[in-house]
Amino acid sequence: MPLLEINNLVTAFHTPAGRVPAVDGVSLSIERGKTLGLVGESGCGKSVTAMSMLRLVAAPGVIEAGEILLRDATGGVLDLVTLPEPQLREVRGGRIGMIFQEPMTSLNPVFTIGDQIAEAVLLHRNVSRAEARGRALEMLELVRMADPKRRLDEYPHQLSGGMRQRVVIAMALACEPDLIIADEPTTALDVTIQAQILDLLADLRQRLGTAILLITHDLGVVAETCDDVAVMYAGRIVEQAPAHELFGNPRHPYTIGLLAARPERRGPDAHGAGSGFRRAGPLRTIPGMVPAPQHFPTGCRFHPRCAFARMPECSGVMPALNELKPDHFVRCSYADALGPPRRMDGTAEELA
Amino acid sequence: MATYLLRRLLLGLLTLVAITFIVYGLARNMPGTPLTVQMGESDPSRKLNPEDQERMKRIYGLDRPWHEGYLRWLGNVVRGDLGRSFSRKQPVTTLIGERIGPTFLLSGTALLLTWLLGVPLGLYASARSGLADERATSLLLYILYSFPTFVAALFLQIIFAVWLRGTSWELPLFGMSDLPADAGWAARSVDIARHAILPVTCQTYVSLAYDSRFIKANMEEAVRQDYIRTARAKGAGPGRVLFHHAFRNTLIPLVTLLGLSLPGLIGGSVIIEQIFTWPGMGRLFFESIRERDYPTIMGLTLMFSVLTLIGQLLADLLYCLVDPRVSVE
Repeated sequence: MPLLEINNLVTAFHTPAGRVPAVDGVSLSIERGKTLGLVGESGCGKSVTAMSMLRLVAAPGVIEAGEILLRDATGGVLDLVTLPEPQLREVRGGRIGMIFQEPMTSLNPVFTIGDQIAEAVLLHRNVSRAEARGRALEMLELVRMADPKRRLDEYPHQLSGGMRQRVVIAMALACEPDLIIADEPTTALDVTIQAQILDLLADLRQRLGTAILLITHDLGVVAETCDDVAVMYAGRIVEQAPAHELFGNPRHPYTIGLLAARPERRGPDAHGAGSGFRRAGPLRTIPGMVPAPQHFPTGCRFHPRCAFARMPECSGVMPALNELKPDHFVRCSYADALGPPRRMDGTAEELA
Repeated sequence: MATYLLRRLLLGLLTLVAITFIVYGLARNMPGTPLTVQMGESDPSRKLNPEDQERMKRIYGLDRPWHEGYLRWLGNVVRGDLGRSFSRKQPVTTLIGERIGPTFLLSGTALLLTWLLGVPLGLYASARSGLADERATSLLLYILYSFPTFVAALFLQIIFAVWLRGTSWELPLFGMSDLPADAGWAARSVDIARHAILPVTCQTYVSLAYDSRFIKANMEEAVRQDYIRTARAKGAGPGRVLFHHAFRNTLIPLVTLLGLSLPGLIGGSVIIEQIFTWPGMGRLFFESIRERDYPTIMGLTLMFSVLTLIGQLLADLLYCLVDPRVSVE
């Protein structure tokens, strides 16, 4: 039984210009202790999916349909969509921790680091202030913060971006949640810090057995850290598979396009000039942009950008998310017929 | 810290010199002098003969150019002498001493009421933002904010002092006390309180409307911040999010507002004290300008300026207390 299961989640924003369904029928499941990567371009609805999971979507966003089932070790199930606020607050920070994209602004500037971590403990555990502070110190040590004792009494502005993100992680983990939702946790950080934070998350997952939902647009990050991957496009999941399967055998044209759009890295070039990395030829892109939710096309939402689209079939019927083979789901009517993965330019060359 | 205060002090003194210089120059160059205004130039029988005028001018020091007059005033101030009022034949310090109590009573009560009501009102408005009751409250506050005090004062006077005359709701039209000075302490207190109700109301409602709208605007700004989402994701309830996380951050702009209200506490309101004939500083200021009573004008200007500067310094020091990112160093 998966730890968390999202079924047909619909989250829409009711703006003066009309209803904008940012998340339109997303289904996902996360196994206990596993890492699921949720990938997609900006605006595909991945952050709104994450916010919906803790019902943190700001007005005018509303969860209109679907269920989000959270299972505990004894088999009890909570539906986070219908759970009353007080019980939901026990889940927030208690059973599900959250890490945000912006470490610079996601900490309250007027409270000390120690107070902010201790608050998470005090909200969920029946402990004294001193005990909560002790727990905060433990957490800072756990996230490998340098000089943790001193940091307890420092304010966010005294810390670097990477250190702040460690504080946010410490806060999310303080009550030993079953699941961490990490929404682009490294996007705002320097590349070297990114690697440190990802290492830390992987290490913590191993030590604590916490499941992680990692939301990112960076396929490299996914390849390094995730057990399973879900690819999201225009408010829907278009492909979901174990990571090695998805990278080795992508079946949805969008996934194929995303993988082809990655800058490939090679050693020193043929002329021996320079060191470091060189791109293998020009960077491939997927033509067009993710449509805004109010302009989602009919049928398959990817068809206007798809190199394999067959008209008028692809613009007529929204394909279902089919299980192509065990654990590999694809939302494409012709996933079987596409044959070996192709490059977006249509040549039959195999993807490396 | 010491060097910071010293720097602020020196800068403050410089500012004071600049302010008083400008105000003295303006006052002395206004049409009219204490002699023309107060001796009733239009009444020929009371007109001073030229020799007397010259003598008075010399006594008041008006025979010298204004910048010399300023230097003499400044020199006296340094020696602790604010001079004597031309029109009231009393030392300016005595005049101020008499007026400071009534003004403090009026403005202090109004300020206290403003904050006691304004903070909860602003928090309430931000907590219920967009709902019908909040919209009604905010509309009312907005109307109050744009309603001029002098109009409100006249309405209140008509209602409570004229229409309700003879009922138990009647309130005095103006003044601070109708009782003789030898009346009992308790009776006098009640009498003064009854006189204070209307002017306090007038002085409170505008700043109340302003402050609560200011707090609401700042709270709405604060709740949009990422750290509020973090607090909610931690499991904090709406009350804790609003009052602990958001309000603590709105204290930063509020401290500025508080610092700015300090001079008004002693300076009083010219309009309200004038309408209600309240024997306070605002009214003294108004009268001293009308009478071209330069020493009093300057004494009051000096005091207001000092208070404004102290208010700002206090606000800056409080900043360090409420915002850990700010330090005086």
